[in-house]
Amino acid sequence: MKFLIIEDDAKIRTYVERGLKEAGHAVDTAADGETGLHLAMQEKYDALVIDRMLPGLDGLAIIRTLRGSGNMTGILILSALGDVDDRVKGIRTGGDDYLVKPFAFIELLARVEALGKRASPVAAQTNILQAADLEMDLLARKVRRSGKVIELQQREFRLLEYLLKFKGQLVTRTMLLEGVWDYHFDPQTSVIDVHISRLRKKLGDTDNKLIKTVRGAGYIIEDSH
Amino acid sequence: MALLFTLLLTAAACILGYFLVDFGRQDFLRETEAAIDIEIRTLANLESHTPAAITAYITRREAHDKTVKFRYENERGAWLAGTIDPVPTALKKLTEGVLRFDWQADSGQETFAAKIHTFVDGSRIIVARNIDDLIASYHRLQYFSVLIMFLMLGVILVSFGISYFVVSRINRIAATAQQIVDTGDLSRRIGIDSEWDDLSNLSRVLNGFLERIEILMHSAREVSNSIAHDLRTPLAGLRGEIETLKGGKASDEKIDAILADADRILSIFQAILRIANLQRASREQFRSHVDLAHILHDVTELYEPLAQEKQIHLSSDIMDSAVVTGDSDLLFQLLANLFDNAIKFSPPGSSITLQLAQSNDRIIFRISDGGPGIPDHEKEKVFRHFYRGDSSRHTPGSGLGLSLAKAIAEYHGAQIMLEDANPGLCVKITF
Repeated sequence: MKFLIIEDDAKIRTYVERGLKEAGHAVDTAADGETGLHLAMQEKYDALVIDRMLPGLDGLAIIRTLRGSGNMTGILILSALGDVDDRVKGIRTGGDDYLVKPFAFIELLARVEALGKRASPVAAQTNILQAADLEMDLLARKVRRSGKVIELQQREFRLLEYLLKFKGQLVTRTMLLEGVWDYHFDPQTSVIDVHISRLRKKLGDTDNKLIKTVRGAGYIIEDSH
Repeated sequence: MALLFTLLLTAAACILGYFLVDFGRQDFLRETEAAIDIEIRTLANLESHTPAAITAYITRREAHDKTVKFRYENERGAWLAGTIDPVPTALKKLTEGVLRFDWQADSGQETFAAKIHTFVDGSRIIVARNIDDLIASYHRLQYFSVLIMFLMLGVILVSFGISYFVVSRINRIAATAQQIVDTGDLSRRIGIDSEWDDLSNLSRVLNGFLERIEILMHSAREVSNSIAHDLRTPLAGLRGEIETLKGGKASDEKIDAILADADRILSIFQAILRIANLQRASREQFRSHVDLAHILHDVTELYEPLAQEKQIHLSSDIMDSAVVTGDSDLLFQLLANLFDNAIKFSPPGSSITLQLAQSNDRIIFRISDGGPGIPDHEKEKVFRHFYRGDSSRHTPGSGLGLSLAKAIAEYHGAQIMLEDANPGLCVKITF
């Protein structure tokens, strides 16, 4: 995928750039708002990473301009502000996701990849999700593993759907909470883990081969089996 | 200042007193004298200056006006006409050219002012007018003047008292403020020794103000102390772990462990920031109507597997819909923190009870656990940052869960209270 990072802090910019390149992505960077906006308008990106506070043109202003001109590329807002309403403000302006500094790189990677994936036309219109011998029919709301029907509760279904939609990509615990439970909060304990282990049990994934745990980060359903 | 004010007032009182006394003395006879002069001039200008004409005039005037009396005498002082006879013995000089005498009338003693005019032929006339009324009003004037002087004196004394009092109060407030500035000791208060005056009220308000600042400063200090103390341990641990990496090659697992520790420290900072932001956030922005019952169902669903894993039974009595104004993410966080605690402290096999009910016009949420509960003397303290009760000292957690819960509840204008569930703890939130 191809990403654009608009961030004035050189340390964070190179750190994110290097990380994304190591993960096999193409990366452009901009150190100020004007350059960033210019690049975002000219090039085609899978997702943008935009810092909220920028010299020259403010991050939210860039997002507003892009959305105003019909550019619907996925945007991840980076912010040092942790205020109650900042997240809401960022999302309302047109951002798709919001990450507060300091963050773990793996969290940022998972989120921009998810944004990029969402934008790809292949993922958009499928009603059947597959991974190895697992098949998920979104319309009939049926899950089969090796042809055998597995009964899932509604939330378990959504959990599996989310993991399968981002097949081959890491999905963090907070992404699951936001994507499956629709709440943005900090769990004090890893409640999600219990849900995953339940789901594994139902899927017969006894050795954690289907849904893999990425230590200290989240979960992944591998692409090829 | 007080002295200057009093001096000015005294000067004003003196001028007023002098003016009153002087005005009375000068003017009170002037009109009487003028009236007498008119009589004399009329007599002197009579057309036929004969004793008979004068006698006739005198008789007519005396009959007409009871306040005037005459004595007409010849050059040897023998009586010719008028009621003044004999000439009164006690003649006193009133002012220049005006005499005063007392006259024994039928109704009592009367006082007259008189002037003597000698005609060209040597005969003399005494014209006298009753001045009883004038004297009475002169006395009244004097009486009032004295009264005014006394009143002024009173005003001067009171004003001196007040200004002395006010100035000393203000000086005392200033001195206390200066002491606080100099020593940084916020526990000092302005002395209050009376109840009724505005300055005591001001002092009371200022003392309340100081107390509020002291509490805020105290809690800020407490927070920074606890941050310094409670974050030092994990940071020292982190440092130690990094130190062991020296020289050798770090395994991915080791690095993951160190990162997890760093993340934990960062998340504590994050939580502290969040609490601080909530405490100063304005309540109006981005708040919409949310259904607490719906949020509670979601939280229950999220935590139920965790409870089941510990064999904790969940029972709930949740009303159909409980709409409040607020932020659903924050409310979810609040309820999640309480669930987390309840599950953490409940022993396996016990049960957690949830209740969401309407009481009068308030919505009340209760969560009761089967844990050890919190003794009364710790109930207030557990809301403090990093506070760990005796029973929770060895459980995992940041020590910020209840602080954050409280901050969120208060941000929503709700009260959070701890009650005994016998056994266990019941957290009650009143929206």
